[in-house]
Amino acid sequence: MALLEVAHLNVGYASVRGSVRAVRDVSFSLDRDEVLGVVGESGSGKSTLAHALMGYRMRGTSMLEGDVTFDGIPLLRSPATELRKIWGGRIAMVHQNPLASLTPTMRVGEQIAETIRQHRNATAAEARSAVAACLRAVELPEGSDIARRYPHQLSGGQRQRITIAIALALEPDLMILDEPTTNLDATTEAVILDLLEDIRSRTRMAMVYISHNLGVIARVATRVAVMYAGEIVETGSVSQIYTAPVHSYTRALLESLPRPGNSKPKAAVLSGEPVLAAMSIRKSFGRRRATVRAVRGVSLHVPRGAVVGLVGESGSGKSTLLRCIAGLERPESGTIQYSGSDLPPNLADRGKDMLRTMQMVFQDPESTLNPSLSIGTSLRRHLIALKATDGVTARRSVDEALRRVRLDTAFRGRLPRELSGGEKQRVAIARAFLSAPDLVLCDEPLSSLDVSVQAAVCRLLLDLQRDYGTSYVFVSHDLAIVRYMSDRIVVMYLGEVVEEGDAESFDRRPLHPYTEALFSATPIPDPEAATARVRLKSQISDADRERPGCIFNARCHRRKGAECSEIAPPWRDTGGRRYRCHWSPAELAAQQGNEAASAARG
Amino acid sequence: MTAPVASAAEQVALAKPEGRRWRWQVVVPAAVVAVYLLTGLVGGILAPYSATDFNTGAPLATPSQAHLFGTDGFGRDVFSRVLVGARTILLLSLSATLLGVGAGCAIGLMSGYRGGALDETVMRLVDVLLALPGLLLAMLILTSLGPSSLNLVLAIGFVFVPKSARIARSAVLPLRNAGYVEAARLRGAGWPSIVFAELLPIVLPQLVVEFCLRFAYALLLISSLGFLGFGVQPPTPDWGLMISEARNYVTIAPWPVLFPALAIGILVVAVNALADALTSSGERRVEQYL
Repeated sequence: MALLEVAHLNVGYASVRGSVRAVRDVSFSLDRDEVLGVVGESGSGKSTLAHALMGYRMRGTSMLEGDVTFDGIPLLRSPATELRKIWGGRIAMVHQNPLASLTPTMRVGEQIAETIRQHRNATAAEARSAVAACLRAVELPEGSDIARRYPHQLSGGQRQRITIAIALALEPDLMILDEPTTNLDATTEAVILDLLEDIRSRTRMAMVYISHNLGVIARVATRVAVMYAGEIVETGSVSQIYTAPVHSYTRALLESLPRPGNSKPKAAVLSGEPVLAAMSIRKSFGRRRATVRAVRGVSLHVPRGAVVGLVGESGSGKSTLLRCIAGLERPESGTIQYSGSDLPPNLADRGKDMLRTMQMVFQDPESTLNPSLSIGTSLRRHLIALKATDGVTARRSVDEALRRVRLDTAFRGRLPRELSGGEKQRVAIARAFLSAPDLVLCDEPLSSLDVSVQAAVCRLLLDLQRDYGTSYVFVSHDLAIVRYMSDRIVVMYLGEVVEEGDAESFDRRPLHPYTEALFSATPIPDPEAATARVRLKSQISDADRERPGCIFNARCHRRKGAECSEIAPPWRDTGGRRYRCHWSPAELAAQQGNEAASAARG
Repeated sequence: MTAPVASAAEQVALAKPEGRRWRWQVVVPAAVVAVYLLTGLVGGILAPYSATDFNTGAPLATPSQAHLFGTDGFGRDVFSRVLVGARTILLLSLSATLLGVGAGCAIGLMSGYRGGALDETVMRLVDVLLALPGLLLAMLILTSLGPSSLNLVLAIGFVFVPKSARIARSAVLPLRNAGYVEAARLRGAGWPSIVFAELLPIVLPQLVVEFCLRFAYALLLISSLGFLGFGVQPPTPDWGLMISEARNYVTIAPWPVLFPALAIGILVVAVNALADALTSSGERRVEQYL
């Protein structure tokens, strides 16, 4: 018999406009040793489903119908006392935000022990050894003081390991994971996914893995269910879903994903004077002892009409660099040349003509538009400030701008809260393009959007870029999107550029070990894809210290020797690419070749 | 990357509360306040006697058909004095609150948005002023300026500035680096235009609540100052002053104290209730914004 049997599950919420059904007639079964990947966009009912699977009535639930049978126990009809024994003990859950699911005032070791004591009569010594076993299981260093730390003293990856450790504490039969890696950096995500894979092969535990990311699902799941508007529209084995999707929504979802080597149509020849040349920009935050050197002497050239992609993990200084160029932050040193003339670091010193030619699109669609102003007012204000026009012309231009981003002119009268995230971001793009700028700085404009919306906004950005001949500096932590959008790619780590070059050349192979790790961590929506496994040690927070050697040496998997921590690595040029490393291109190629060969043998 | 798909979120579109729905928590106190405002406007016409005439009846007459609220020690009609007194106190506290909350919010918004050394300086000054009890500060100002209606408004306004500055600053602080603020900076907007055209409309609900709370406090302050003899001077009918004048014979004739005290009490409770109701609906609106 299947471990988990779900039949005709319906979940509804009470809202102002009446009941909203978030999960509609969902049925499936899950065997032991299976991993069901549930994929869908935000609002598709994934998280509601996750809670309903545990028999948990979320606040505001007005309808919870159907059957959820776990190992013969009808969860939706069991009394609360029965459910409490099952939750945590036999079904465990891991949430998206570990900081919210861990108690901030309790040491993490104690939080694991608490779960154990809740379900079993364990002596202090037994609980202690069980905690140690849990920490071992999630590969946290045992001898360290991790168990004695508070959640805020851990990194995001370590916190998520702790919540997984709590889930594992009682060796449950089923683990439900609700977007467990969404808030993590790609490199950390890859490590957590490895961990889950190891746990599963060791314990043969069943899992329901919920994610919006098809790439992640392809890595972890054995079977996939695609959710759309509360319904499961398609289920099948991983290879079925990814190679021969039946439902049109699944097909569209798959097509909207950028894959490695996937690229926009090639741009025209990029030559002549760069539109932007930033030289040795430095910026740090904080005072005296608590200084964070966010950007450490970075130079950036943007050819006219080109898209320069800036990629790196959070904390790499890419956004700060962008804000220094925009004039929103004042760099400590460095110069910026813009269209051949010096750009004053202070926004107040830049004339209207300069402001007009450089605009920005921000990351968070929720705060990009003033909530108290209608879309039309927001756009009109921006236009009139940049180009002195009369009311009638301004109105016409605003309508035109809305049409340009493929929004109806009726949006003029709407308030931002009536718009979806994607629509808000379109309006923000329309605002940036009102003054027909030469350069648009894009600060992760896609990262808070759903995959399919991302694709549409991405295309829109590229269309506008082609039509206007605009240049972009495009910041993202997603290497696949940067590869798709860009003509040149610049990889940043802890405030320094470690590698840069033509985007195409990145398809052949990564050079700098950090770039290699980024590539390897990018989840590919293809279960057959063979990727070299490069995993980084967790980040050591030394963003504040100036060190003589290579910035990456503490986490590097190809560390050469003492010179890495003592001597600044040289820039090495090779065929349109340059990178900073003590290894030469030939040496790196040899190492990568050997590893690929041994992987093929093994 | 091809084919955009209609987002599932758009399809299910969890219903958002729209429009403003009048709830009794707002309606009842607002109606009470409206009655007071109306009385302030036309109270003089409704009053059966002159508010300042002596011996409209026997001194300390009990409430009756002729004198609804009775008479005070000079034989003045308490009902007429309460009606006429509404205008004095409402006018004084409204203008003092407008002045104080207006100036305080302007300072707080500016200081909060601009930050840096200016913000530090302004907020330390605010700390100093907040350390002094409001009533004492107002009395201090009134003794040095001399008692007059204008000075009363100035004194109370001044007392209100630091607290309102604090509130406005804390409201604007989380919005400083929002995308729309930075977009405004990138079109060359200066701080006055960002503070008053972009940020003020967003924090306005919070400031309206602050205004109501301060208004209630102004009523109490003016009545207290009147009671202590620093506020409105006799023979102008003022609720606080009336209580003060009649307090000597409260044991034999409670009505000249009771009715102005009730008038103050009900108004203060209504204004506070209104502020409370606005806060809870305001918070919901603010949540949608953030």
